[in-house]
Amino acid sequence: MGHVNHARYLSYFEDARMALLDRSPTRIPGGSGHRGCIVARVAVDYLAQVTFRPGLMLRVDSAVARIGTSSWTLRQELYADASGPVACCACVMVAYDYAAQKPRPLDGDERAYWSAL
Amino acid sequence: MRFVYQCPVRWSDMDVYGHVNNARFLTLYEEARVALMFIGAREHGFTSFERGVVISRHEVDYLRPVDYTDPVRIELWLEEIRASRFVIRYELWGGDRLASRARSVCVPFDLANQRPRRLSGPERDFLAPWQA
Repeated sequence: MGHVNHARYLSYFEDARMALLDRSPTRIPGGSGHRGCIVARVAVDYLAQVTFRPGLMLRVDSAVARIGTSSWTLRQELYADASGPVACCACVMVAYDYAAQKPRPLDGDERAYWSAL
Repeated sequence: MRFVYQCPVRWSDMDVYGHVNNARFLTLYEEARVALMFIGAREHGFTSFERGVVISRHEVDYLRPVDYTDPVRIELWLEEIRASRFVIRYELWGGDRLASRARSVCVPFDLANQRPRRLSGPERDFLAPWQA
């Protein structure tokens, strides 16, 4: 069919999230200075097929839709061209204390960073 | 009735934390769905699912990480069967622990005419026993 496999969309959304995490105070789990976070839930709506072509460049826009004490929800949209999004994703992130194996409250600077998005 | 699929995990499914990458869960769920709807349906003599079903929505809840050495088992069943869509529910087990739940909204699709179509009689008969 020549279409991008629907499961791969999740990797595009993930790559965008990692880029965003890397420049946030939360940082990337396992990387230097990270404070810990996990993905608790992902829901994706598929709106259009993406047909592969050489040089195809996809764009992911990410914004924060909700922020709580320890969790926040990213709203992500995937674009293949100038028309509307081909997929939308809601991703629930949880600030997580790996040592204690439980959620932790977001720090003030993290909250400020994510609230501004 | 649940369809049970023993799912081989590949080395390349791991992320840098040594767990199955969260985005790859969807590929594992896909393997289980394909085993039922494509391979299972072939054994019943029809291939219409292979020729046109699109996914309109996926939801995945992550409950705990899956390690490479965990034997992965996926159980799936039908939540809903309607004229032009059906909903699949899944559980993903790592060893004896429930690691994830998921839900897929599937739409039979006429690829030639690029539009949704209705489920055929044989398709509906095939899916019905798996409805919880």
